[in-house]
Amino acid sequence: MARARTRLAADERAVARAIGWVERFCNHHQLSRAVTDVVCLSLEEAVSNIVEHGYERQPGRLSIELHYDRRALSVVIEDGGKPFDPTQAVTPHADGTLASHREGGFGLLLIKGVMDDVTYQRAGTINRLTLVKHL
Amino acid sequence: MKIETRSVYDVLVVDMSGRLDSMSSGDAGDRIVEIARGEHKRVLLNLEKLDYVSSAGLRVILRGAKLLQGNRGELKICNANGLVRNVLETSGFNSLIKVYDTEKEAFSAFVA
Repeated sequence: MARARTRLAADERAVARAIGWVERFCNHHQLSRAVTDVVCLSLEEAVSNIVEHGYERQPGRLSIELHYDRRALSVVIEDGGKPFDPTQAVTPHADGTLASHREGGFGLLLIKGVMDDVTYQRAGTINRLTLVKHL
Repeated sequence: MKIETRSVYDVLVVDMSGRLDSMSSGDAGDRIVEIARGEHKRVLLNLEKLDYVSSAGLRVILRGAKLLQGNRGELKICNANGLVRNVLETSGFNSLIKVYDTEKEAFSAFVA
């Protein structure tokens, strides 16, 4: 069992720093490229949402915790932004016409699509999003 | 992220390589808009060497496709592999923009 935690400023560089940190963790533990990519993808989508919608581009903090064992890699992301439950958010299905389709909404579909388990908790003033990828 | 173009008859093939994510989507978006507003009405994105795409990247492609459609053109995609193919399918993006396994199949579809 391995565990790591980092805290980041929720600014425009948060996604790059979060992905770099997770890549190093995955490389160190020799996780496959496929697993590393889907975890980076989910993290990119979740952290972008926190910066853009949770804090509305105002100063804030977020933390990321990774738990890894032979069965799964779990990512726990916490922030103090506006309450937001991505598991309940309505994601527009891209089954309409190109002209009418808005350009947002893909991120949550991707998180739910590539991870095996996605859960949300509101703990006091904290949003806690837990993403699990079975190995 | 690298974007290169080549003309094949009246189709502009856009070879994208590397990672199309939040960090690269600004510059890539400018280039795709420039291409979509250019002289070619038929644009084919060849994603064979694209390793990674996130929702920020999908928005770039969608913007280009909409611009082309508004200008009576069309954008198609081919040769997506691995994670990129997974993302196109998971997001339902492949129901908005036609995705082909090979360049040859995409060219035939433009001609049809």
